[in-house]
Amino acid sequence: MNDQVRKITLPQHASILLLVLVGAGVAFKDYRARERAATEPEALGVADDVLSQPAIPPVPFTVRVDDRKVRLGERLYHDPRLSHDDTISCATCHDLKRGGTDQVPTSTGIGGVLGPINSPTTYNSGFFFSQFWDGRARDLTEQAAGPVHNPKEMGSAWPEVIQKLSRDPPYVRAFAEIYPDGIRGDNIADAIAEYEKSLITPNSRFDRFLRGDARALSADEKDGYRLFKEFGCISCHQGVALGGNMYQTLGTMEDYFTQRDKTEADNGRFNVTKREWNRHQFKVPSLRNIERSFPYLHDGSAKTLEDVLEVMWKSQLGRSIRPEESIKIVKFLKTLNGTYRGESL
Amino acid sequence: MRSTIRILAVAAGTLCTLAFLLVKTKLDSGEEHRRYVNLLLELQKVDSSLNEELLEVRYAQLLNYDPLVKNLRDLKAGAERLKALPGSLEEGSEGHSRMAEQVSELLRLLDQKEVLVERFKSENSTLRNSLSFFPVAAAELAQALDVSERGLALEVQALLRDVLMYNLHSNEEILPPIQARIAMLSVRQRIHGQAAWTEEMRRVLNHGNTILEYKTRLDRVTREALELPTRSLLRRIQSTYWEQSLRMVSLTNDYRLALYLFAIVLMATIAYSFLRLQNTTLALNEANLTLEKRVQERTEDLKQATHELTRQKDQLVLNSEELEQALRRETEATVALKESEMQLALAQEVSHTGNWVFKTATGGFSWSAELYRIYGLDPQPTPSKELLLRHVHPEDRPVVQQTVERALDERSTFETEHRIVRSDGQHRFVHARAQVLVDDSGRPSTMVGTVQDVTERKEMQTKLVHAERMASLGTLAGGVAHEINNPLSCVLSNLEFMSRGLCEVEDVAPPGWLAETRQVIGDTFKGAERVRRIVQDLRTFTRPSNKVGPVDMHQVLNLAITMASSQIQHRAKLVRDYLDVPPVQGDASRLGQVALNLLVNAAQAIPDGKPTENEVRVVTRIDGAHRVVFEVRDTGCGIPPEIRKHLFEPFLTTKPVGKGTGLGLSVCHGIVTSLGGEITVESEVGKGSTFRVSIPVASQAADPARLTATAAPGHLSQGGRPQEGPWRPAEVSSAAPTSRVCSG
Repeated sequence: MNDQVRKITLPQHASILLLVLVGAGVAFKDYRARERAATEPEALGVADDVLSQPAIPPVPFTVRVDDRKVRLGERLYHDPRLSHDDTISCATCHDLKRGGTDQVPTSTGIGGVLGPINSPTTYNSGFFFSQFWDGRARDLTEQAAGPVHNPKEMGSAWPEVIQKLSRDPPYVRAFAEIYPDGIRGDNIADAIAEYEKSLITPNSRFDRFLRGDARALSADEKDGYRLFKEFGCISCHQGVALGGNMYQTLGTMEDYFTQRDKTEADNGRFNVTKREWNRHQFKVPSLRNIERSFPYLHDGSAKTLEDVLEVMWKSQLGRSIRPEESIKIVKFLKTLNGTYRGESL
Repeated sequence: MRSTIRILAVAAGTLCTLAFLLVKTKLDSGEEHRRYVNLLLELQKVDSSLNEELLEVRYAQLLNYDPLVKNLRDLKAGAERLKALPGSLEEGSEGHSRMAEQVSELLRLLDQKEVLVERFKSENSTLRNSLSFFPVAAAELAQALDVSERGLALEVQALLRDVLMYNLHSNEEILPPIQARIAMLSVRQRIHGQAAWTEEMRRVLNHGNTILEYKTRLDRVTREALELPTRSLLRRIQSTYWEQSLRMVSLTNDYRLALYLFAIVLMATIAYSFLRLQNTTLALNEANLTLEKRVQERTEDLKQATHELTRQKDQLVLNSEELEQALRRETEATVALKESEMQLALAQEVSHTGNWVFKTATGGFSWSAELYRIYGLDPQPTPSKELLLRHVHPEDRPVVQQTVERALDERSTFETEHRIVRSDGQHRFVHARAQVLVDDSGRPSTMVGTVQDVTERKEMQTKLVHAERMASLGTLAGGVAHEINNPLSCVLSNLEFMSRGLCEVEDVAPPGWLAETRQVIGDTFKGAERVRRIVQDLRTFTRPSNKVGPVDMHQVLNLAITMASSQIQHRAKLVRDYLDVPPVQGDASRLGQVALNLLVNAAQAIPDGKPTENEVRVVTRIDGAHRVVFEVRDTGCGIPPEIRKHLFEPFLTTKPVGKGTGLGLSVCHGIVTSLGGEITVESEVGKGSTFRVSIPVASQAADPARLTATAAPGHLSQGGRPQEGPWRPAEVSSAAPTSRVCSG
């Protein structure tokens, strides 16, 4: 093999040079194009579709939830092993047959200790903007851990609960199916929260009325709704849950706590924010199924709707009401009972 | 090894560079980038929406706080998501940390906004309720007021107007007069504590105060909420992000360019390598072609050389073949020579002829092998003239010597027949013949000669002479017999006539004479009868044997034995020792005559009276394939050798005169010879004799089985010869002594 043969000829050199030049040209062109594209920001049109909503929309018939989590959450909700002495479950104080409450002024925790505050309903709690009377839990997941750890309520802790549940093979399986990390505190809370989100009560007579069924309400009830709006109840009890989307000071017009000594719980949202203007502020409760979730107010002091209306006129609205008007409003409030799983509450 | 490592290092380096550039130009952060930008835009939108809703709520266009709640929640959740900066932003870079700072500032602002919104919601509700109830409360108060209290009513009206005015215009200048009026009315209310309108007044003042207080505060809260720089912050975040993102894009683009260039360089390198490889391959092919051509040339040369070699080889082969042929010819010649030599030797052996060559000049003498054999010289001594002459019979030697000398002198041939004495003492007749060859000068150079052993020929000549004598004797005898037969017949018939005539002259003739005459006639008759028998026997020499056919030898023998038994039985016992033999070709009556003759001879050789001590044994067997032998053995006196020589000559007899004609065995000899057979004798004096006759078997065409099947009188066989039935004793020759004497 002589060297003469191995040499690359001039045309070959030229073709490779051409290849290099063309390639480099393409590369620089692409480079320029990208540089230009990068300096020209994309124009994004922002659609402006703010709709005026009605003061009270009806409860939707369905919500989007994870069925597997709901099934697991339902079992956990009714499982007393979440409490230290295996006596109290979520359902003990939030009995779905009692309007999602225990229908007593304040709940009794483990060892018979009375709680400081009236237990709010778990129905429609997924619509609430925060949880607890004072809104200390941002959402249901955060909320679920509260009673478990509260020594006056369930008096337990996640490690204990996890230990108990881990002895139950069906739980182990169910958790393993849904959560890759199995039984954990946040997973338990998540499943319960998912279940609670499913606790909606659609198709109340009032919702039917809202959906256009004028005969769903009687004349008195309609009148009651009118008065409800006129008297300003609706200022706070609005939204899909007729409440649950704001805080309001208890005793705006007149001091509510004149009749008794104030408790720590009476400070309400102040306990969370430590801001003075939050003192005695509570989450406005939902009026859905209000007939079933007696007694009323954070302290459970109002046994009947009439009782609570008295407090409202006095402390919140600073006005008087005639008895017939009161009766009509109560009648209206009783149209807010929805259905859960097809059954009226 | 080192070059492999270098190549691997270069490859690894190239791959690493490529991988690095690819990672740097990775554009799959595009989706992330888009989402982030979208999120930023969405958050700005939601923020605007929230602000809008706040105003809508403030002016009672929206009666539902749910959208506020939702938007606020979305804003906070979105801001949380903003914390996760896109991966394309370099962590730890100045832009990255500024982004993080700004996002946490946004979260802080949103927390503030949330608080403001919460306060806004509750105070807005209260304000709205008070505002809506304030005119009602004022009206109720007006109704409750007495007509007399008109001034108070006007004050209340003014308050209502001012409060609503304030609510409408937010003019803080009018606030102090309103507050002063409220204070004044409050005093009035306390003064008229028991009045009917006190409660109504209290409510009006309460709500009025609430309105003033909440209106002022709500305006401030609303302003604060709206003025929170969330939107500008979002824009700042966006621009920061853009800045960072652009920097990243530009950096990526730089890397991209680098990747392009690197790829081009790589491609060029590969192209160069490829071209070089191709060029090398081409060169290799070319070289291959050259090489192939050269190989072809070489192959051609080789082929030619091979061809040449092959040709030479063929030539060689041809030569060798020729050689071989020559050799073969020579060999053949040698063989032929050998053969002819052998033939010569064989011929010499067969003809009992030896030859010799004598070189007169050198004295060299050579003998053929046969010559030695003729002279009975087994260890072959050196041949010489003396040796030759020494073996010549002493009586013949002078003649032979003389003849040889003369031949040499005259340079002529010679021929002599003389006797020799073999080294074993045997006498032989030889016929010697020689020729002298002369050279060019006329001197004798060589003498060649043959010596033929003619002893057998001599013996044969002797035998022939004997046979000729026998034959001539026979012919003579036949002729004589014939000549005698006629006068004898006459004699016999005359004697018969005379004998009959004597009976007629019985009465007249003297008594003595008749008897004497009769005696004489009787003797004469006997004598004539004897002559007739001799004549008859003699005639058999001339009578041709014409009845030839297959003959069962045993039948013939048995018949002969029966006929001879009277002579044998008181001399010896007869033993038949037969083997299965095929029929022989012959004449049954003649053969019977032979057998009877031999049996009678045997019996006569045995002395009378001791039949148990002697025996006559008749034996048949097959000799070879084509001859049947029958023997007649006796334990008689035997035949002395001098008689045995002439045994088969006519008229030889040992019997007393009158007992035998001396023709018996001679006749037998004649018969057997005429049938193609042979008759021999063995004998020992005092012990006995054996006569052996061997006769050719009958031809296959005339076997006995076929014979019995087809035999019929007068029937002609294939051979055309007349067939004959079994031999009958009536035809037996007159060899047996018979008497034709008239019993008288």
